[in-house]
Amino acid sequence: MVEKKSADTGRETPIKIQSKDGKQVGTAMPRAFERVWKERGWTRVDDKSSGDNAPATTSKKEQG
Amino acid sequence: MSRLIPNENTWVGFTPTVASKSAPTAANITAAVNLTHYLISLNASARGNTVPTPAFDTLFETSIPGTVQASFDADFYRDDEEDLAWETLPRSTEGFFIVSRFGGTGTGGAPVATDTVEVWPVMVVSRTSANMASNTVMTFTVSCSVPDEPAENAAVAA
Repeated sequence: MVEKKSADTGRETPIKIQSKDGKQVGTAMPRAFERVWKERGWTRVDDKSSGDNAPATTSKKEQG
Repeated sequence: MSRLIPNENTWVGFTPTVASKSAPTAANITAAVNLTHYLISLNASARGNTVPTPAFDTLFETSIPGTVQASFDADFYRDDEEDLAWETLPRSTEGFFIVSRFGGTGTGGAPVATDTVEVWPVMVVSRTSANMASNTVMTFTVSCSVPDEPAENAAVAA
């Protein structure tokens, strides 16, 4: 029987978040967002946008 | 400056993003989570490899510079009131550790503009609780991959 990978591993999918002033955009795991970043004024940008702006790579500003 | 220990000197924070790896802004640091209070040990190190280039005409084995790699591991305390480090760093988290080894000039040793910091891009590979034992504080270890070259001498921008 084939099961979804997420069901097998219980892994969360990262979500895109932005800082209070909207100038910083990164990703966080949903539970970490609820418990850590939300309290510090970060807001959720888009549920489906994870992975397209991974913060562990060079930022657009730096590339420019 | 004299010799020093990390206690009451080093400041370590984590943020999902930075404006520039080589010049994180003061706002980046303000928006970061300060993990210094939970930190027990930190291993953020880069290591270079050498490539042997021996030749028949000499007994001396020469070498040339090869690739460079980095590793990032840290130990933190668990906390049943505010488990900030544990909750900030679940597996697969991507972001940047900002390390001010000698401490910044801001409040609580936080780095501010013109201070020098290290910026380590990381992805959390594992978040592992330490073995529990009687009369032993509960801790965990975070192991990270380093997907991009760290900036080990970054100046904080305004």
